[in-house]
Amino acid sequence: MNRRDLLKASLFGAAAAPAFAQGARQSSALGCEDCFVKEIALAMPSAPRLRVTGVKTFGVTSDVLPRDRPHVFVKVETDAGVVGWGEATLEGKAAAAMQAVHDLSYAIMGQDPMQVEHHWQSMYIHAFYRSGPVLGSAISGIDQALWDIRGKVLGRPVHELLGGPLDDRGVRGYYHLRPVLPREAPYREQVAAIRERAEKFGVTAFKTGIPGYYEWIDTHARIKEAIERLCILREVMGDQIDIGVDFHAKTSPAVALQICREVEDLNLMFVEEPCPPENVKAMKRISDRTTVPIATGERLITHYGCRELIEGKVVDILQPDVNHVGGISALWKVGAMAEASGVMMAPHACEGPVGAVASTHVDAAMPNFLVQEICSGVEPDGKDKLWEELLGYPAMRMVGGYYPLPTKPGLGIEVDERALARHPFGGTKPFVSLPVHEDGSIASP
Amino acid sequence: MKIAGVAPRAIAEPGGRRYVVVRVDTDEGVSGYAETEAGPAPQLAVDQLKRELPALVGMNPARAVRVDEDLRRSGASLASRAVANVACLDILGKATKASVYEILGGPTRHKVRALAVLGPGSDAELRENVLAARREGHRAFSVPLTMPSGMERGRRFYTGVRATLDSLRDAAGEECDFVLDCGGRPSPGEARSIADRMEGFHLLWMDEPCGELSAFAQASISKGSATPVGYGRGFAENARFQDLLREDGVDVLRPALAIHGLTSVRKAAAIAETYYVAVAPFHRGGPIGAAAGIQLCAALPNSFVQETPFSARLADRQVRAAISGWDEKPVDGFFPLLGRPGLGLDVDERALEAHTVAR
Repeated sequence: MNRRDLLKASLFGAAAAPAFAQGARQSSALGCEDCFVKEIALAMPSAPRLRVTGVKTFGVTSDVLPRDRPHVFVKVETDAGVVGWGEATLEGKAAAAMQAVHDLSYAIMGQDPMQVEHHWQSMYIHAFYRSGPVLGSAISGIDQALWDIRGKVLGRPVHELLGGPLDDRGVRGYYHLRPVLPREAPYREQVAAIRERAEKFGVTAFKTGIPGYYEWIDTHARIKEAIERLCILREVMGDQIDIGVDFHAKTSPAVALQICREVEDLNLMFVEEPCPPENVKAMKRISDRTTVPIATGERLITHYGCRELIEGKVVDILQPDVNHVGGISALWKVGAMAEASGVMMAPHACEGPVGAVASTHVDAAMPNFLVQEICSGVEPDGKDKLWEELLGYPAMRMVGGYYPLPTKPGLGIEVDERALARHPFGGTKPFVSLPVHEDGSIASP
Repeated sequence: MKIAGVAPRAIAEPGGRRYVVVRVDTDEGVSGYAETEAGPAPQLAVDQLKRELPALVGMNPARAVRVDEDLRRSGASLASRAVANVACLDILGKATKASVYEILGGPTRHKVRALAVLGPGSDAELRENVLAARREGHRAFSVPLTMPSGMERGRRFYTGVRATLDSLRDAAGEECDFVLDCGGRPSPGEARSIADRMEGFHLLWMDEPCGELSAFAQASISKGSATPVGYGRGFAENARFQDLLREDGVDVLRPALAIHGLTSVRKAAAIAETYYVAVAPFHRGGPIGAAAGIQLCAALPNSFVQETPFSARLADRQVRAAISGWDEKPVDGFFPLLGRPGLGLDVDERALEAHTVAR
């Protein structure tokens, strides 16, 4: 691309234009305006069966979605007419994730989309500044789309390319403990009503949180409230339903450990993020002192970001998010690393349906898979209707406690672009809650 | 598609190298091939595969991980699991008209570095073999360490090792590289002395510098030297690699294709990637295993080289080519990718039959 073409692309180009503008500026600094594509391309003896011709992003804003996470979908187009879909939704950073996808599109434009590992390496290593959630989410969206294309070209669902499925029933999942009665109904009655529906639909696992926000040392009343809630939950749910509890990194090790120790008899499926994720040693302080399985990982980026947790046997369960960790490629690698240390996989999924479905493909081929999250309640709501509108089927609704695996090639889904157009991107919004403590200091959401 | 039959057989090359080739047939007429070690009693290896692999019949070969899990639960040997994995991927590649490296997410490179594994010999014989392999396109050579008896392991031994390697490089040229294959024979202390002596030579790595000791003991060589070390030809589980990586004790993972297959090595490579450590699959068998290794290396981001045994005997090389339809010749030290579907080979059943070890 010469300077004139570059100017045209900047003025008149569609979604992919910014990517070329970015890439050209970078390579210009090297004294070679368009050589980067040649440098990255593998010198294969024969021409590829198809090439990437376009990278587009779609932001989806809707009242039925949490305000911080308009869905960010990635569409990769090829000269063979095959397209791939991926998801790069990043809570509170939608516009940044979309721009990062375009920034990275230099790595695949004009290239063979089948070479997904090569492109992953290029996007991650050539970025120079490795890791971080924006880069991780952008790579994730592109990686998922490339796997979708790979499956479509080879005529196989992605889970089969990964060697699965291991379970013909699909992928075991859990819902969130969302109210099914009016919100003012007592907690015990809410749980009883949820249990009733769970038994009706064959759901075998739920996740809930602990109430309120916590300071790094907290009071008897707050700690007692959290423990009593969990005791009621187990009592009403009974022993047949597994319960995960997300502390959401609201607690410090000091507070989390007190709660964990006092709920050990409940045999929870896991306690998630008992403290923030940056300090592995702090997390280990908790896991070393309780029998409650400790889980973390939704904020970790790439398999590199999970190494220390696995190496130190810090957690029992890892929960990478296919939309942040680096897509299907990186989620599979984390699973492989965890398998060698006896760490189970329970991938996080709290964004849109494309990534959630992508996650189930990886789940289906991991021998150490435990359970797949979806941030939905046992009863479908407006979000489920939106997802059905976008994908044409009730994506991520369990049947008998399992997410059915798509059987069509690739990810096995089709995204309706007319439906996307009905929910245009409304801009980035901050994280869904911005809590403060009663003294005005910042609390962890 | 379902697996319909399994046929293992022991193969012998004229020079004596032996290995077991397994053909896995499906009900749709697609067959996959794989290879494992023959060991000291090839017929025992074949008999074991004949006992264990019929469990594959009726399974879907497209589900390589599912197949492996089922075999594992049935108590099948690592060799059976390895050949099942490779053959399933060969079948899936042929069924989808994709090479195995494409199934695995590659290629990540357009050629795969080659390593010629040389047999033991005197300095003069090693020199001849290096030059013969060089003429065949190799630029990297794995040289076996000759260990003298205990009393002779003095300074003369250590200086001799260095002198041998120096003479081989003089003969082959500065552009050639070497692995010193210690075969697990030195003690950790001896290995450290060898590693120390080899600094400045820039070995690619010292292979199996000591035996299968604790990860702590194995790591002691790496901790005392700048010479890279490789381990793992006998490791049965990826946890062993992870332990050694945790100990900062290894620079090159050496998982054996004959006991891991491809998916398991891919998982080991994922672990190694986060330690910035390379993978060089171990293979001392026939051309089908070599092709599987090249397919794998072409798909991994952190593969460095694929080794193949090099025979100076033309007859051996001709047999291998007849079996696989592939001459195994690198070009300037690199194997071109095998881009045809599956493993990329055209296995000749008649050639296999002709070289099957008689019972």
